[in-house]
Amino acid sequence: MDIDKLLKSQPFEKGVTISGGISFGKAYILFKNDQIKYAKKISYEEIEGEIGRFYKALENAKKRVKEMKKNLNARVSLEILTIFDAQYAILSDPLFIGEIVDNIKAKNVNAEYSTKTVANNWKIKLQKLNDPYFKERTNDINELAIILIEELSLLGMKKLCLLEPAIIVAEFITLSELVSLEKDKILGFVTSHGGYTSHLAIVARALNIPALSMINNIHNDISHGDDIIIDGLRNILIVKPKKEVKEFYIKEKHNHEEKRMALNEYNKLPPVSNDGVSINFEANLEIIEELPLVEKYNASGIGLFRTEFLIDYTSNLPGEKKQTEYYSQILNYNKELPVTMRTFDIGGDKMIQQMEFYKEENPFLGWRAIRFQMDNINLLKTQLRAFFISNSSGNLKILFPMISQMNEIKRLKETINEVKQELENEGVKINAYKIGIMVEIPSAAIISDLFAKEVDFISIGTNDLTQYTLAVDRGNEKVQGLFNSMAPSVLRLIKIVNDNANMANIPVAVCGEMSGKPLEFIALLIVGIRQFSLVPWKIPIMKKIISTLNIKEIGKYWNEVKFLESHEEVREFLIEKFQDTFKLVKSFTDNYIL
Amino acid sequence: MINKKFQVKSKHGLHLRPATELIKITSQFDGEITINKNGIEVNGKSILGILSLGIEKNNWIIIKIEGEEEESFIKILGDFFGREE
Repeated sequence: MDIDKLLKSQPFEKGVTISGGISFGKAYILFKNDQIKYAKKISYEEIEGEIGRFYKALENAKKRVKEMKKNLNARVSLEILTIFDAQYAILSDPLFIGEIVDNIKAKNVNAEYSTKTVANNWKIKLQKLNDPYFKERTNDINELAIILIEELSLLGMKKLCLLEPAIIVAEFITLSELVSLEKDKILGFVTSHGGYTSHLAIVARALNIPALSMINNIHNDISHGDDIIIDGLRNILIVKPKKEVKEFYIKEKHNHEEKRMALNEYNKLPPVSNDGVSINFEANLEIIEELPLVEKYNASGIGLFRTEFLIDYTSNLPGEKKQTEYYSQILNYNKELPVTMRTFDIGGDKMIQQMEFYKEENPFLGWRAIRFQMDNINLLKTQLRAFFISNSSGNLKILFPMISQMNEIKRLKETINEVKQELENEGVKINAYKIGIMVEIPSAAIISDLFAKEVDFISIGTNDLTQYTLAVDRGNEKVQGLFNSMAPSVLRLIKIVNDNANMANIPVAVCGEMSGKPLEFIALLIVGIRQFSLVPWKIPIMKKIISTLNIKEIGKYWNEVKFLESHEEVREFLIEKFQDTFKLVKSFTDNYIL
Repeated sequence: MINKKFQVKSKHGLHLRPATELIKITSQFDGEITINKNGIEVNGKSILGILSLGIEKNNWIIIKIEGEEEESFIKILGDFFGREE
């Protein structure tokens, strides 16, 4: 059955796919006050901490009630002020507190849920009384429960416990929420906010979980437990699909799974081409929870760790201790493998609180990444210190983003020396490390021969390089059609960088999305790139592709590609010259990868 | 330990405001206080417990109090329940 025909009689919502694929399952609505609605199991070891968290929230809630009373004092009647006293009395009520604590202990559930349960029980008790006056008091208890739960949520959340796999539906999803979710039970994400470069999008793509954003009125259209389908190919969300529609997608999903099985086979392949050339595949990671993927997909290292995710994770700028704790886990995960730590890439679309007061006309051309960090030198030094302290096995590679001028790398190297000196004075041993830059701004690509003399390695960020070369904001739907990394200008720039790095005898890798898209990947091989860093689950696909290619002679195509005039021409050229590979790729991947 | 029966005189019984006032008194007391209405006994320091008794004007309640200052506190409580406001 033709799906387009089916969709004529099936209502659906249009959205924007931020992580491809097809998914169907039950909707799990993640309200911002979700903590109340669903119990989250805590382990025996966590009980004490959870009770501590509750007492702290209780104190904060009391303070808040006192403050509210104080602020209103002169303006309202005694009657109303009494309500605050009563609320305060409830927050101090030994029975109320005792019951909540007992509930946490006895049922092993989070404090929010326990608060809600106990408050509900009291509401019911009071509602049973005859006097209408007492019945009204149930509202006071409700209000208090909300205050308490708000205070609890300010103290950080407990893990959300999904009882069965589901598609998460929410206005937006913060990184801390994302981290707290059990990834293996998430079938997909549906949100109203969060674009292609949002944290959600990056993590969803990394974990290969379909995600659809920009869906309006999610709360009106979707209820908890509804059957929903995410169709990332057509950018649509289907709520309560009709039987035929569901059947269509079940088939689609089945095909998808078969392809996935084939990929598992390819995971065992060596990263070697048909003519025996080894290609280097490393992993792009953003959160600690992804570390096991390095081994699962046989990556030869971490080619890009996006440290700025740590900021969102802790919702402020973490100090040296916190950072050291975090980086140590990454650098020590597998001491044999190189780990490329990119300094905070904040600004642009990734803001932190400290920057919020400063709104820019053109954030992507503004105070971002290394520019921001060099103006906040202590911030940079703290991060570098944490890198060096965590580098106990000498597998650290430091990567600086958004470099555009030579004096930047010179200053950064000076800063590194200062930090090293400081640490050595404190008795910290400095182990082996390497310094590299991201080439993602055309100016840096053009003079990459000069940079190559200053650094140990170069990493090409193709998303930004494309955006800056073509002057196209990919987030702007009016021009996003112009965004294409196979534009001849972009390929030529990458070629320049690759040649310059080879000339200086330093390694060069591509860590942008191009590495994970079959045709673009082949284009990069033609340009001369032999080292890639990409979302781990795509490594098997790329290994299968190279197993069909003769890499030694692939460079010869450059003589033709370099004279092509558009990305469409490049695409056609590649499809024609690599027909067999392309057909093979189509047989085991979904269209969205191409 | 003292057991004493009182009739609640305040206009709306022990609704939110008087109950809050009552808590302010009982929470000062270093010892145990319970309030009993029709055989249901609650902690005299728990506002929710007291509210849940639904004590109305002219209801009879039994106060049980045990602690060092029980004598003086039972007097204060007697004044409190006798107030008609």
